[in-house]
This record gives sequence, C-alpha cells and structure tokens, in this order.
Amino acid sequence: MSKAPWFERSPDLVDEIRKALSTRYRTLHLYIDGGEAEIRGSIPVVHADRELDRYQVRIVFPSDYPKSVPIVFEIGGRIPHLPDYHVIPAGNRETSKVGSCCLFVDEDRWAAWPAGSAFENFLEDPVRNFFLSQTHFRETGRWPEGWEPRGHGEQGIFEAYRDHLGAVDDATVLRYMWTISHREIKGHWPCPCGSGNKIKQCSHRDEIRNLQTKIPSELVRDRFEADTKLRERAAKAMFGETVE
Amino acid sequence: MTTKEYLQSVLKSQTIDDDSEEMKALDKHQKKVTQLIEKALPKSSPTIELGGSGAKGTRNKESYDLDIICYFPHEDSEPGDSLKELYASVKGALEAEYLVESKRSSLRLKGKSGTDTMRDFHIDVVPGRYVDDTETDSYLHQQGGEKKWLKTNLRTHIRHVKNSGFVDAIRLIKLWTARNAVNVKTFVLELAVIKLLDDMKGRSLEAQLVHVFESFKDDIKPLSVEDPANSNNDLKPILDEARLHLQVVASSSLETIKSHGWEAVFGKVEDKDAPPKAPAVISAAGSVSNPTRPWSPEM
Repeated sequence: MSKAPWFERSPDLVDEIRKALSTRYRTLHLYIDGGEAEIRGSIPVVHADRELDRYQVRIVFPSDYPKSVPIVFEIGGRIPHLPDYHVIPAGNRETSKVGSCCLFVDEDRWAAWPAGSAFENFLEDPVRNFFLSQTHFRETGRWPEGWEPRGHGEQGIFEAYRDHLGAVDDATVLRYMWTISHREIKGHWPCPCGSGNKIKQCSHRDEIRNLQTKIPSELVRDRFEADTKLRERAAKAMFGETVE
Repeated sequence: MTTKEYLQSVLKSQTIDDDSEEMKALDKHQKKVTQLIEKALPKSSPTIELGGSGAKGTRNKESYDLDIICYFPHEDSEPGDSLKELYASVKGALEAEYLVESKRSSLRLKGKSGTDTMRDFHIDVVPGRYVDDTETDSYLHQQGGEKKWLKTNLRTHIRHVKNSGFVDAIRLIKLWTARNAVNVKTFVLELAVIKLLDDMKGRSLEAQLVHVFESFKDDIKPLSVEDPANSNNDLKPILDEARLHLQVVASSSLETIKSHGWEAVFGKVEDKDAPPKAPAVISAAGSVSNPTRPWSPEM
C-alpha cells in the first residue's frame, strides 16, 4: 500500500506553511491538488523596508518533505538557465529539476536549512539569499562579497568539506567522504586525516563525529551511487593508491 | 493617503513611458521579429503590428507583455495552406534567433543562448490569416483542444477593452495576477473582469476590485466569458485552467485587505526620487546573517 503524501500524514506542517505565507509572504499561495503540493506566487527581496526586487516562483514539495528540500523554480523568466546563474539547465539527468534554482550544495544544508527548521526559515534564508544574490549580480555585475557562489560541480562539493576540514587536499577530502559514507564507523579504521593512526587513537576522531552530524552518510552514499568514479577515487585515496 | 489615492498611485507607478528602457527593448524585438519573418517569407506581405495591452491601454510595468500580430492576407499561401502550416512557418522563422515556446495560438519568445538562455522577453507573436480582403476578421491556429482553429478580430478585442470603462480595474487585476503568479491568458482575464463589472460602472475602483475578488472567490465555477469577436469561440478551457488559482488568491487577498490593507496586496509605491538600487542591494547583501552559497551541479 503506498504511503499517504506528507501533507496528509503531517497536517501540522501544512498549517505551519500556511501560517508563514499568510503572515509574511502574502503573495505566495499553497496549492494542494491531486496528491501534490506546491506554492506559486512572487517573493519579494526586501531590505530596510524597501522592496528591492520581486521574483515569480513555483516551489514544489517533494514527496518526502521535509526530509528533502523543496525545489524552487523562478517562473518569471528573468534568470537564464545556466550553471553560472545557478539554475539547472536543460539536459540535466534529473529532468524534474531542470529550471530549478540551486540554492546550496547539499553538504551545506546543515547550515542553510537544518533538518527540523521551519519552512519560514527556508524562505528567509536560502531562498531569499538566492534571489538577493541574483539581484546583486544584475545591479553590480558581481556576486555578494563574502558569500560568493560555490564552484561548479565537484569543486563546490569539495569547498563545502574544506569549510569543515580546513585547507586540505583533494585526497583528504575524499578519505573523509569515504569514511562518513558508512553508517557505522569503526575505531580501528585508518583515520582519514592521513596521519596513519587508527580513528580511535587519532585526535581527529571528534572532527569525524562533527562532520557526520552535518553531512549525513546517506548523502555521501547517494553521491557515490550517482558518480562511481568519485567512489573509486575515494576508495583509492583511503587505501593508499594515487589519487588523480 | 486614501485608498483611491493609493490605487491611483499604483497605476501611475506601473505606467511604462514610451521612451523607457522596457519599451526600447520591446521595440528592438519587434523590429527583429519583422526582419526574421520577412527574411524567411520574402514573397509574403503580412501585417505585423502591435496588438494586446499596448493598444488597449492596459500595459503594466511589472507584467508587461508585447503582443505582435502577424496576419497574412487570405490568399497568401507562402507560409502554408493550412493554419497549422502557417503557425509552423512563423515559428520556424523566429527560431533562427529565439527559443520559441508554442502556446495555444501564439508563440512566446525566449532567449536562445548565452546569458539570455531561457530568459523570457515577454513577447507573444500571434500568427494568423485574414478571413477575406477586408482584413478585419482573422483565423488563428489552435494547439491542443478539439477545435484546431478559431476566428477572431483583434480590433474588436481592442475596442471592447479600451471602451469598457474598466481599464484601471483591468490593469490592477492584471498586476494582481502577476504578483501572485496566477497563470491566466490576459485576454480571457480582461473579458472576465469586464463581465463581472457590468453593473459596477461609476463605482469606486476599490469597490470594483473587491467585487471582482469576491466573484472569483465565491462564483468562479459558473463564470463564463464570450469572445466579443466570435461567440462560437470556446474560451472555457482557458478559464478552467486558472479557476482554482483565481479562487485561492482572491480569497487570500480579501483576507489581506481586511487585516493589512491594500498596500499588502499591491505593495508600497516607490517614490520616483528613490535612491538608486545598487547601494541598497549591496547593503542588503552585507547584512545577511546566515549567508548561503548557491551552487550548480553542472560545469
């Protein structure tokens, strides 16, 4: 028997969304129809009581919301569908996401919109930031200083890891990825820091634990499943062979 | 400021001057569209001119669209014998420089490459063929639906809207649909507003808008509209696509007006002397407390 959609299982989440929209986002509207839920409307970019810009949007709730992040589409045709504008272009293998806005790399979710956060925070932080950065680029020709977009593709993923690990090389990032991709990490495994110590004896064991709380093992496994070459490189980095 | 003054200030702020950047951009595209069609169909002599909101006086800055009609003489077979072929010929001509999205009877122009990829230029080209030498009524191809063509008259449409006495209400309802991303064909929306306001001539703009919202909220299901140029044209499917959204948004807006006033519906009107935006945007970015960094999975 198929599971009921999230909005039937969790009416409190629906109430929370409706409340956020009716109090702070009155030009956004929730539609629940035919087993699917989405928001349509326009979202303002406001600062110091001045509306700086406004974007027409469609926000689609995945079936496993709030575990998965809602998918945001700019539907006013103002933002080119190009990687440099952080919109998924045509031809992407995930066809349902073509045209959607890449608000943040998944490895940044713990800071951008942590699990358990209110939907209002989703609109206030990553969604607002995304559109503010687009307006910033249009007005100044530059992305906001201090929170420039991540590099494209793998570069952005590795940057997210380096935010936790410091200025480490690719091989170290790959070893940490390999390690935290496991639900259970064994103390006798070599520490991914590269010291040669076992995890249980290494000063970096807390770092591994800390990283696990921020980047779920499932996320890393999904990355490896989508990119088997990445998984091979991580395994090679872990077990001493040369990393390309 | 009274509600009347506020609504008039909204209308004024939404007026696009003829020498504005928006109009210059539209003018550039209109010239390009003409060139592309003339190049692809050199033996034809279509009428290529503005239709829609510009002619009706219902254009808004926040949601402007340019309708360009491209009507071929009734004996001109260069674009094709059938309306479907004619539609495809015009589409093909425009695809030389645009990404062209097929709509029910029109062709939406978007950016094809570079930093314009998928950018919406807000231009609809409407290919058609005049019914006869009088060049008044025209046939348009229809995508989808049972009937593959319709007969209509642009000048009748323009007159119907322009002379309705409800241009201000129409402009504000159009603005309202844009701000709430209600996807409804403008022409059908205009007809709906005119029909709903039939008994409201002489009433205040505020009363007219409330009446439209209440009608959308309570009576959207039976609402029907008729093409003034041809009562045989079935506009029901077009209205059907938007009924739920119109109802939801109208209901929400009525609540908003009650609890927060009209400014919460149409927004604050920015002073023409407001300071430039760029410094305010930079300041806004600098004060973000939880910055997030957009990404792209693609290279």
